Amino acid sequence: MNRHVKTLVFVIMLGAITSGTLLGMDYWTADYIAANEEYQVRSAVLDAYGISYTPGNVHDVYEERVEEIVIESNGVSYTFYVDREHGNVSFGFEGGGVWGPITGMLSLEDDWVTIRQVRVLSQSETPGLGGVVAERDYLAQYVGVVFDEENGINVTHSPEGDDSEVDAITGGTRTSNAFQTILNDTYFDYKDVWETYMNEGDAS
Amino acid sequence: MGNLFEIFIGSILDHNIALAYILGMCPLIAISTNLRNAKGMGLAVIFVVTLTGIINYPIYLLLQRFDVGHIHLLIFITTIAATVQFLEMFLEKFFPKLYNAFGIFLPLITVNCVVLGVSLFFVNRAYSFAQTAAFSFGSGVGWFVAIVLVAGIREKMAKTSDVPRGLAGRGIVFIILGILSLAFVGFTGMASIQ
Amino acid sequence: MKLIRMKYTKWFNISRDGLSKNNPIVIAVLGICSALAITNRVDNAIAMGIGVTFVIVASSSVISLIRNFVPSKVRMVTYMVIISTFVISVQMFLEAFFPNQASELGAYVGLIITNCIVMGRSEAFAIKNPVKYSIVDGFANGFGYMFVLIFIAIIRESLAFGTILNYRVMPEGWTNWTIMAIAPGGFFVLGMFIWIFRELSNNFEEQV
Repeated sequence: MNRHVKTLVFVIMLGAITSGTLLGMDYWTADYIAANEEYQVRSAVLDAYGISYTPGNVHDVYEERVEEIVIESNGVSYTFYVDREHGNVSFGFEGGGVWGPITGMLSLEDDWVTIRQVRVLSQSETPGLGGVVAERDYLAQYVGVVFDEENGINVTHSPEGDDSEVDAITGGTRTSNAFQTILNDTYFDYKDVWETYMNEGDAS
Repeated sequence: MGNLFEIFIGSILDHNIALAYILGMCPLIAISTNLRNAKGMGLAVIFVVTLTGIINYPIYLLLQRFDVGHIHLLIFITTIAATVQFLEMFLEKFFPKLYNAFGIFLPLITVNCVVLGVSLFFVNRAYSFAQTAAFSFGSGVGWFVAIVLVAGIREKMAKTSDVPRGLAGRGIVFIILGILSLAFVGFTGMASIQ
Repeated sequence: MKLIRMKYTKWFNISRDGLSKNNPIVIAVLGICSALAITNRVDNAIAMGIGVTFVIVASSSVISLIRNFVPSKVRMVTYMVIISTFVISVQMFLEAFFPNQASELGAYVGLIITNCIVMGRSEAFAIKNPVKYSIVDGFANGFGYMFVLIFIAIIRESLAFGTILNYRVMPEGWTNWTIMAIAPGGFFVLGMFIWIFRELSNNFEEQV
């Protein structure tokens, strides 16, 4: 019996120490991580609108040039980052990739169909295969791609296609497909919310 | 219901956890020397994967309430270990025959990354409870299929083929796995499990 | 003379075991999942190799420190919990203070936790040896793992993308072998590598 008690005590102590360590680390780093994430979101938005900034003044430039519009719809809040000057718009996307969640920012022209920029902020796909999805060279080809009213954008393996198509990743077919689903779902969600909001605005 | 069936089939073929996601390779290579052991290990994995998937799901929902982020990985590991330990004791007590059949494989499963992988995948894909169950079961079956295929080929090869000395044993398993996983690439796009 | 004497020290034997005689990938066949997943690019292989070396050394020394208190029934779980606590803490630290590096390394975190080499070394070595030897063993196995990864990655990247570390090595008009970028290519190259390695080191496995 003594042996069992010892095992039990060990397990409890191990659990307490490890979760304590993690919670402590979490507490210690949470503020820094939140600040870094905010910086990444804001710099992604500013990059998309072609506004120059330095790490020191990013928050001032952001406050001056970008307007955050938060819309509540069905209990979920949608945040739109709107360019005060040109009416370009950005919003965050999030969804399941193959191995873990993919999050990022999608920026559109003021016509609401042409992509200005796609930026992936976090992902955990296989480096070199699906992980290519976060590389700037890969994402560069999304610039100028147009969302089709019915089907959104299309990831394809064929070398030539119309302007709603982008290349899939070699060896990363599953990630490509997942990414396509995330972008399209987010796009149509936000578009619906935005249009309802604008129509209500007109009516009142 | 069609969706559940699609997830089940998809996780066996298109998204086979061993041959498409390359998880659980170490035990697959180590235990696939003969068909008997491979079946035992495969069945044990099906059982444990399904069980831990079902158990981890409500735990995850509970964790979400408290927003503890990084801790869920640690909790999953503990749940899996506890489930396996409990299962071992339960089988030993009430089904000694079954325990003798795959008792030795149970401790090995704790460290099989398939089990943890399945629990992390259902979180990532935001499955419902029924979908999680279908997916867990399907993934277990997928791993079973993979290990039985490899073991069957290895058993035949041991009798009939003249494998070069340097490739013998584990070396040749990689070539077998390469060809099998190439074959499974053919299933890509067959079923959507997102 | 010094060299000959060194040959018989424990340090030397441990290092040789990790690097060649019991190389974690080639002979012991551990840590395959990650070896296959990330070796299609050389830079990924280097990053993964360094990460794994670091984690083996750290977790082995912790486990070696507490080896006399761990009840044998729960030791596997203990390894896993310690390893993942360690990796997650490092990840949080990087996210807070080195955000750029963290986003590059984010994808490796899961792969390192589930890498059975780390666990394998804990079970086979650290649980019954003092801290100093466990650290040597960790380094030896980490480097043994890294050198195989880099070797495989060089072959796969040059065939799959025509480049090494993103520098073009194949002639213009080279047709990329897509199969080398995906999992089956990894299996084939690893199988061939084991064959060559065993022939060269004259270390054969019994026919089973």
